[in-house]
Amino acid sequence: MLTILVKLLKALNSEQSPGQLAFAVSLAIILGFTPLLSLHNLIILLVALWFRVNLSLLIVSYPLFALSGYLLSPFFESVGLNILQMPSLLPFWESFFNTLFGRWSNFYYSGVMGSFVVGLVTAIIVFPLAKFAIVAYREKWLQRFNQFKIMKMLKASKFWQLYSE
Amino acid sequence: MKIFRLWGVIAFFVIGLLLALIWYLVAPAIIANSIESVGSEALGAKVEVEQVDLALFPLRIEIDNLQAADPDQPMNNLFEVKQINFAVDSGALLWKKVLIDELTIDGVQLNTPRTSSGALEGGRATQQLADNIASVDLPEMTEDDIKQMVAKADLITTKRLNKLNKTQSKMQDYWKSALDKEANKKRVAGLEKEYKRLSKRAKDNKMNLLADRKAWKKLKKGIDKERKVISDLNKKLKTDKNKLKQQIASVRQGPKDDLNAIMGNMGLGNGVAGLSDKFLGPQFTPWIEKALAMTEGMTSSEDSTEDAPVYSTSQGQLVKFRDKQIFPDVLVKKLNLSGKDSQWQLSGVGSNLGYFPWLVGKPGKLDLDIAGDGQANLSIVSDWSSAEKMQTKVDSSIKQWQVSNMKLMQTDQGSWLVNSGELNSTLKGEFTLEKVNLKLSIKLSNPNITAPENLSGWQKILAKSLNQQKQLSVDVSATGSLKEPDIKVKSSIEKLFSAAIGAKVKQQAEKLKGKFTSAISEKVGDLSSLDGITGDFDQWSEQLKGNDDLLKKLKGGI
Repeated sequence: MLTILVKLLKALNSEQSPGQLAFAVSLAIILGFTPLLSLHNLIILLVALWFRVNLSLLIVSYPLFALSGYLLSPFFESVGLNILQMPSLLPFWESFFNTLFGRWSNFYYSGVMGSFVVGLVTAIIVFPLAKFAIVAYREKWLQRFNQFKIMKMLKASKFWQLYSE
Repeated sequence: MKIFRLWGVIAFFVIGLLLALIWYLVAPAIIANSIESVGSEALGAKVEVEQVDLALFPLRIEIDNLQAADPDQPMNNLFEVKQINFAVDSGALLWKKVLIDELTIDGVQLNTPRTSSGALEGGRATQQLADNIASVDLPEMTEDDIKQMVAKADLITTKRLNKLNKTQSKMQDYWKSALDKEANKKRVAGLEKEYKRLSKRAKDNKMNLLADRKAWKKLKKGIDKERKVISDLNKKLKTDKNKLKQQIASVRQGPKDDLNAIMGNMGLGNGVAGLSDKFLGPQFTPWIEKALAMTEGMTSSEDSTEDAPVYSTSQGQLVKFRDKQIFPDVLVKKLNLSGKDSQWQLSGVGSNLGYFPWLVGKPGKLDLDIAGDGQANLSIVSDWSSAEKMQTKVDSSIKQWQVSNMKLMQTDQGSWLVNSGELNSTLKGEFTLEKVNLKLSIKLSNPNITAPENLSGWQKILAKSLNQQKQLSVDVSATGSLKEPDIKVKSSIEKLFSAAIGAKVKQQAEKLKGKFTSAISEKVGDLSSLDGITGDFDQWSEQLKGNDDLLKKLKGGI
């Protein structure tokens, strides 16, 4: 728990741009909401590694979104089923299912489709919000935060030292 | 600042390569494990695989020494296979389909001894609840016992009621959204408004008819489109209503079926006649039940009325779109089977065995021949012209086969074994998705039967009289539908049962019938309100009719 907290604080306090951190949170949302062993998550992983996304924040926030995803799975399934059964989209899904990517994507499962769409929409919404929050934190709260006793204690701890290296 | 990191891409591909390598090394163990766990669960005894070899180019799998234990005799194998060998078409695999040109099963042996017990520790993971309520002793039951038994039982009525509720709720959701009053009103009102506008313009100036000809045409097209939607919905409404009515009828019939099932399970279904079912059924009917359930499973649990069918899976609902790769998910084009023992020789061929079978395009065939002291053969032809139409014919016979150690039945005291005798048997018939008609006839001449020790009362009388018979016959018939097959066992042993315990059973059956009926009614609750369920359909039908009448009137005016 302490390790997670230190990792999170280190990432927030680091020199990295808010965009890189917000991008990490957005990708973690998609990874966490959708079944991990899915083809689209390979692409998400490639994006996370290729772009300068903060990997620590992605790894730390993933379990949180995975848990939310688990709790929201009935909702994902109902969203996914509605999308897959939308009469106007049927020809599109049929063509998509008959492509190699479509066949391996598992998007024809309501759970995968629903979680991906909800995850993508949430990720897009969260990206600017997270960016704004990180900027606000650094400008307004960082100095005050560092004055807290608990922060001073944390910074003196071996965990902090470990992650400072 | 750079936005890309090169090491990330390299790391991605290195991780990918490592995962592929790990998969290649671990895949044989995963395949072996899957065969063992799925096979053991299906059979109810250990299924073991010694080794699985996987070659990648071309993709070929070899399974060595597969043995499946006999659930009734765990120190024996039901069968053992030396080698299963097949190549998988990589092109088809790209489309997530397993296409096997030739599957060779070599070195089949039956009833071989095992070095360790093949019994599953703790039994199957999924044990049927219904099994628990079976008891071979004649029941002396109190009202509390009956209530408890009914409470424990997985009632047919409850299952049907749940299915009905699910269907009703799905239909209500569908129709509420399809007949969204506001949206429909808006669309029809839009067409009406346009009609009035154009009519007014035409009334003001006849020349406007020419100027507005495109708008009139568009309006006519719009009305036709809306009426086509209404017509399609009307058809679907009728189908859905009928489906719901059938399910309601099935729920109403439920308590009677439950009573028969519970009484039958206790050997009291038809008085004395039910006892053959009770005692011999577990020995002679499970394979028929399994074969029918497997066929029913192939039709899958499609539970949607939409264009693209929906199947329930562990990953949510699977929406099955039209597949342009028109061949089944699994297809074995040719199957070769061979094996021998000191006393017999097995050979078999199969062709076009696929899942989903209706996508194969040709009938699936399986022919098996066993030659030894006697002769046995099995022939199955299954023709699926579509997902909704199937006909399977079974023709099998066993002639002059000398049997030893064959289990006749199982009572609390132990197994009743046929030590020696000559077996003649036929299994003939056919089944479709709607109707099952199978008959199994078994004749055992000069049987020498060993009954369990420490028998008393009617079982002792039965054991003595069984050994005095020149021929025992057992006839199993399966009728009804695939979903709810009605499997009955009749036997020449019936007379012996009757002599041993007939009158007592009859009295007992009559006594318990009333008590069970009231316990079942209490559990399933009041079913009198079921008729009201279809009430919504009249309201929906009225709504569609109202819209259609208005559109018809508008069209008449154009």
